[in-house]
Amino acid sequence: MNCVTQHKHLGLWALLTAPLFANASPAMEAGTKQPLNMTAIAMFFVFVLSTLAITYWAARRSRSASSFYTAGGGISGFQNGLAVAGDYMSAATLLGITSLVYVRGYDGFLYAISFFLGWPILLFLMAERLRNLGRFTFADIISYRLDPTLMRSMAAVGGLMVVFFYLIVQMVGAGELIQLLFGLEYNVAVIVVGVLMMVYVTFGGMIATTWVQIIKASLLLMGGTIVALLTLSHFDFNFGILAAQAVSVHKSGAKIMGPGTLFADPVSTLSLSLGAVFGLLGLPHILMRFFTVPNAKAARTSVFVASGFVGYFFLLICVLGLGGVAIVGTDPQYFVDGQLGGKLIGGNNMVALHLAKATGGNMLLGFLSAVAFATILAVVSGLALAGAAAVSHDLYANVWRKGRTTEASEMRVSKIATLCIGAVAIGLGILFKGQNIAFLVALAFGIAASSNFPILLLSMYWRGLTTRGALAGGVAGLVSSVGLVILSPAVWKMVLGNPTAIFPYDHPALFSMPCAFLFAFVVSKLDNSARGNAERAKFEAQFVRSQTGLGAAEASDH
Amino acid sequence: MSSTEDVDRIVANPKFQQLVRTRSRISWGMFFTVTTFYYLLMGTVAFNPEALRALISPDSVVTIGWPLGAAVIVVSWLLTGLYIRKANNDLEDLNDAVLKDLKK
Repeated sequence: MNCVTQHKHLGLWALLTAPLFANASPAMEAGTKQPLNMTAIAMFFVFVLSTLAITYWAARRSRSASSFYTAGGGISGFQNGLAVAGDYMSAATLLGITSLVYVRGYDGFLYAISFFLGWPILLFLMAERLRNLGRFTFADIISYRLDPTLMRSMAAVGGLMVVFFYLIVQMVGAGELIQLLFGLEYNVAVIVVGVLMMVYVTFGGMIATTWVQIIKASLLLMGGTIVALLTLSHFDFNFGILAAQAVSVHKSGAKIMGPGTLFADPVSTLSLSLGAVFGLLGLPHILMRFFTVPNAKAARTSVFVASGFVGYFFLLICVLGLGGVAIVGTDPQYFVDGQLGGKLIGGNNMVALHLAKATGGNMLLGFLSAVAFATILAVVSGLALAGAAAVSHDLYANVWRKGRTTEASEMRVSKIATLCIGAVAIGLGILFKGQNIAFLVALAFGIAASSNFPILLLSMYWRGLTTRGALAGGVAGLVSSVGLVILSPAVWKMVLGNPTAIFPYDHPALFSMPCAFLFAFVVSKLDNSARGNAERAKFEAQFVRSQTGLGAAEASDH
Repeated sequence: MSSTEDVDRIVANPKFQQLVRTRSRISWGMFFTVTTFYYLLMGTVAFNPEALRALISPDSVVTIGWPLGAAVIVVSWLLTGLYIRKANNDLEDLNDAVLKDLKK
């Protein structure tokens, strides 16, 4: 029940992580720690040791800035597709959406579809231009013809805010999940995750981060597939029979097969979907991956591969959710005090793991738990690298030193930045323990969709954009998205304890994204400065490069 | 970095103009197809949810909402496949031709 109300008030945004905490923490405080699962621990150690070996190997190849930030552009389209899909398939996606389908049926499916849709759009509008124009960070593209100091500062602020909000969410989720699965203390778990992340990123850079992500994505897809197949084997591999069983045991009955209350409000639905779809196009750690491939062709291939895997994974998750209803929901051993229909042991986010145990025993539970842990590690590493690149490449090398720096000192700064980001992430993870942080996901996606994305898109597509316009638009998007989230029910009511929220929706994108476009457009139009005209004149060269790749950063590490 | 002269020559090349036109037709066309399909589904959810509660057959509990939702994912993925087929073959050839003309 807890879950249902949580989702109703603040859950929409929560795809990536929120359901995880929304429910996991109260359940854990109730002391439902799982017994130590030796299989899980053994498998996790195998994962950590093999990824550390990869990091050692990668460290010897990460000597230049290009290999550190982008693996020297030497990642193939297929590998990058798997890695970028891995960035998006977090542990919370697996656990959170499964639990959403488990509780709400079809609404959970719609939720998954909404968070899938950004992928094809990323391909149609951005992938090849990103690769042709960028080098290390998405700020490279915005500052291509606009004022580098202002644009990089703005992009770095937007990028770092997204990275930090996302990181806090991952760290808190990691602490709670690991405590639950492995019986490790919360603080210890957060420190372990933070330290491993620092090791992967500082020593192995993008090469190690990419391979950690590829391995984890493969394991996650494999684990999900096995559980789904075992689930379907209980129902003659017939989705109809599975659905019929789910309907017959779910307390909402046949209602779970159709749209429920989650998407009944058109304004709220539209705002959620805009944030979900266009937020993806402004996530710095996702955008950064397009610089790891050798050319635009490989960039396109990687989105095709990533879309395929993410789409497949989301469809799989819906089978898991219904399987949870039909199998876990009818087995008293998974409920607190053995009461069917009561509280699930460990909270609703444990459905996927309970299902693994129900269909494949302790072995499969151990495997899936280890994969969930690995997933958190891989996702935080990608985030830390994107944050470090914003600090060292944008803020240090280009804003502060105006490009007058050596590669060696830029890399030193990025490693120091990684250590600082790791330390801050550990600190914030401990600080936010047990807090209701669902709104942080709304913030991360809101800023990505309303500040990073509009300016990036306009800089690539609209000749008329000037520095003044971009700055006005980016700041307007940032301020409005942060402001609206603060005034939303998730913060104003749930966190600050006010009786009613000033802004009635949890997701700001419907309002903050147009706000960014509007400010960027109007201010650019009004900009008659010589600088503005010079920036417009430079569009032609940028356009040619974005289309043909002429002069684009080449792969240097074959 | 390419020189201004190179840029002017490319922009004037009819092959480049054809490349830009074709690519933008395909990518915006697919963008609108995918978003239309998705927002039709979400619009139905918001304004006429009953329509999605119809069963796929009288003896099943599965509603037509499920295959339609799965179709949004599968069709948009197939479109990405179609896009890269076009872009990595025809358009890439055209692109190479444009860059080759520059070296003449």
